[in-house]
Amino acid sequence: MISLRKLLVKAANGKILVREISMEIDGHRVIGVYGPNGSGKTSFLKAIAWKSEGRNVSGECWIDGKPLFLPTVKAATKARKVLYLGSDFQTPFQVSVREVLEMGKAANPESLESLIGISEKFDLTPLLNRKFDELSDGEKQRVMIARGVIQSPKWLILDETFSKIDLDRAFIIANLLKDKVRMGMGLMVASHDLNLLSELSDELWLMKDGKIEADGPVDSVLTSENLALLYPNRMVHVVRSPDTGKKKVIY
Amino acid sequence: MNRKNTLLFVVIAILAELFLRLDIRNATLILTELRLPRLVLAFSIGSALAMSGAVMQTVLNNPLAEPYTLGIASGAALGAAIFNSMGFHLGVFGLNAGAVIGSIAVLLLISRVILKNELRFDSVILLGVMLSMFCSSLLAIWMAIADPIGVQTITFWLLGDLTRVGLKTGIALFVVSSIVFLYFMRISKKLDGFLFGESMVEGFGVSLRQTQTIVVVLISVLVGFCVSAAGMIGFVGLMVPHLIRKRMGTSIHGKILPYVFVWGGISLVMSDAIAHTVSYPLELPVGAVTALIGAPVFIYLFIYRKFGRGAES
Amino acid sequence: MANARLARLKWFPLSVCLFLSMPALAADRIVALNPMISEWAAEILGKEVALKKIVGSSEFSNYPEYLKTVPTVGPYPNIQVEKVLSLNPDLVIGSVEYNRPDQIEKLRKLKLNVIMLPKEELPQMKGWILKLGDLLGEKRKAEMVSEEWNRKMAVLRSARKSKSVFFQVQFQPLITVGSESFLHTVFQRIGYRNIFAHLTHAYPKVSKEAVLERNPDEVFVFEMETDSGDRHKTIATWKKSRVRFLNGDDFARCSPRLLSAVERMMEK
Repeated sequence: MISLRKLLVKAANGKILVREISMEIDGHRVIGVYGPNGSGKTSFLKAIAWKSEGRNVSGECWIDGKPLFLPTVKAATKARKVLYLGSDFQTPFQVSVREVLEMGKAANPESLESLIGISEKFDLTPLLNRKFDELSDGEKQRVMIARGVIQSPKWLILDETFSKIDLDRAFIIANLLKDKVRMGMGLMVASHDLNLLSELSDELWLMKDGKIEADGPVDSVLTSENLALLYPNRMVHVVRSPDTGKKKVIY
Repeated sequence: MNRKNTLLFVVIAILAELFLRLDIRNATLILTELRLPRLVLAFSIGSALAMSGAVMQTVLNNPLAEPYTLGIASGAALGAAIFNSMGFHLGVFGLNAGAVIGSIAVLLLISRVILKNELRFDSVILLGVMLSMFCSSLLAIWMAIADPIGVQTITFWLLGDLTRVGLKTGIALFVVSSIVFLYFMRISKKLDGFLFGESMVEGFGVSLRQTQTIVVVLISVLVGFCVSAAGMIGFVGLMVPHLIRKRMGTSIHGKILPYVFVWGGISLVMSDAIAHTVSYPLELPVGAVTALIGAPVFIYLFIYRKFGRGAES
Repeated sequence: MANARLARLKWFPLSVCLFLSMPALAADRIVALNPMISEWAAEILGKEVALKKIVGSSEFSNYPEYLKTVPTVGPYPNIQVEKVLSLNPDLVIGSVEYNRPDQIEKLRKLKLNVIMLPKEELPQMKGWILKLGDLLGEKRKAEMVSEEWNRKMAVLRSARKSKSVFFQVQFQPLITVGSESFLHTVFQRIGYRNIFAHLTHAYPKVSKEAVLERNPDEVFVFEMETDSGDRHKTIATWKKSRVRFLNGDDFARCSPRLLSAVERMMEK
């Protein structure tokens, strides 16, 4: 469980990015985070993983009853508790996909996931010997999500990590992640694809101006009224998918 | 790049350094007193610089990083020049304390700025280049007003001169750089965490600032020693790690560091063999030789191997 | 018994003398670590002995002409220690002014007999020449050479001129002669006032403005083969003064040919 107390994030120029969010976040379910550009999603998610990068973070963030981000807590311990992945993965150096996946295992030797098993599930076996920097953006994202699963942190935070992954594979990976969540991992996913989020998430949070405007089960949060809070000038309709029964958004 | 041909090249380099253009008269004395010390020194400095370059490149996530681009070497050179002109000959094993002080001063400045402002990788490099230019211009000013014989000597030393110090210094340097090497091998998994840039480091279970600080301190001290022993020898730290990464097709430190270490040594020993025999008895500055060989190789690698190939989608 | 001891004592001073002059007597494989030394040594020893005894000399030792045939040990101050060693010399002569202390130390560590000569002592040179002569075991000849130098010096003094002069060692960048240099001292003896006498380095860099400001009567250009391309630029820059082009090699060091060159210059 993550407990946030008055989490406040300011940019270097003093602009408030996240406005004193206090909440308790339970594991065992997938939380989708949605909001317009500049709504503070990334700042919020990074603050949970305590990646400040020039921002000014105050407040408290406890994971499983412990303030994780004290200087005394070892980096290796943190890596077992929480992993934040963005969308853009670059390296100027030569590394093979296999080596990237091995690094996930190295970051958490206690992980039960096997490299072979995960690369099979993520359809990465043909890529194992390729160089990471030669992959397409979508392939890179798949590799990094797989790496995150191999690392098996208590909490996995995916910030737009699906942005370049094709529709079919996104669904496959979403289901694999759901399996992991059923086995106890906490998962937070930020995305601009509401239709994917409704499929993947149990809960949906809508963010605007550094605040959470609405949160709760996807079905109750994903309504045209709530979306009108985010986009007052645009009419957005919410319908149900005839196949999965999940709510979908159309303009 | 495997063990067999590495070993072969070690042998070739050693033989070249020891026996090329060896005068039969007084050969034993020349071998034991002159060529052996410079062989040991060349190997230890080459390996130290190459290893420092490789680690620095990943830790600062910049393929252009090496002790020279961070301004550490220029700081060392400036320190040594100031110390020399003031008539100090402090130091152990003939190493100039000024060089070590200079490199540590630059390091302290850089790390202070980094830690205070949480600078990003690219800013760090920019800062290094600025510092390097600053030190170089101070050095140029010093050269303009100093006595010409002194300047000529310093100039030669600045371009790399492996004849200044004896066998003891070479061995001492080798021991120091081996210890640093073993330490880097021990934390090689942590170093791997830097391969995907600053934002990913902590996620890999590696403490960003702590590792960065330790690595930069170790490298500065090592480079301070190297510069004070043999002047500025650039390009080894840039060229060797890249060549090894390309040849082995990986950047995982546990795999490349041993080869970087040994090939750094080989490349400087070979360069020195060329530098002091090609126009014997005229001795060429070894730093010029490494740059002369290194720059074209580097340009070739980057034009034909790296930029020609983009992401496939 | 007392007599026997006395007899031994009588020999003592002589044996001490012998011992002290041993290197001088024994030296027949000599390496000169800079051109000034090889030129003077050649002057003292004469062509035949010089070619036999001087087995190594630094690069750029080109006077007398035959010194060019002597194996080189590299350009001073960065000589090649290895080459010196391979020549197996029993005497290595360097000077504190022109050779690198660390290389000298290295040569000494290799058990070579290295003797360092001090800075030249102008205008007399006597002590310096005799020291070198002593090392070469040619005290007599050294005395003659030193007398010759002083005779020439005296002749030059008698021809004193009183003019201000700018010495141009190099045009780009502009390098001149300061008060530390032998050139300053020699030309001062014969009446030339160096416009940069107040600069203490031997060869300081100066600006063109500073030269024009001081408006020298004459400009002496020490010309090396490599920079003859600067001739017209030099003349254009110093057009208010009388510009004289001198062979740079003749004036590069305080050696026997220096005074002859000065003499020739004065005649013109």
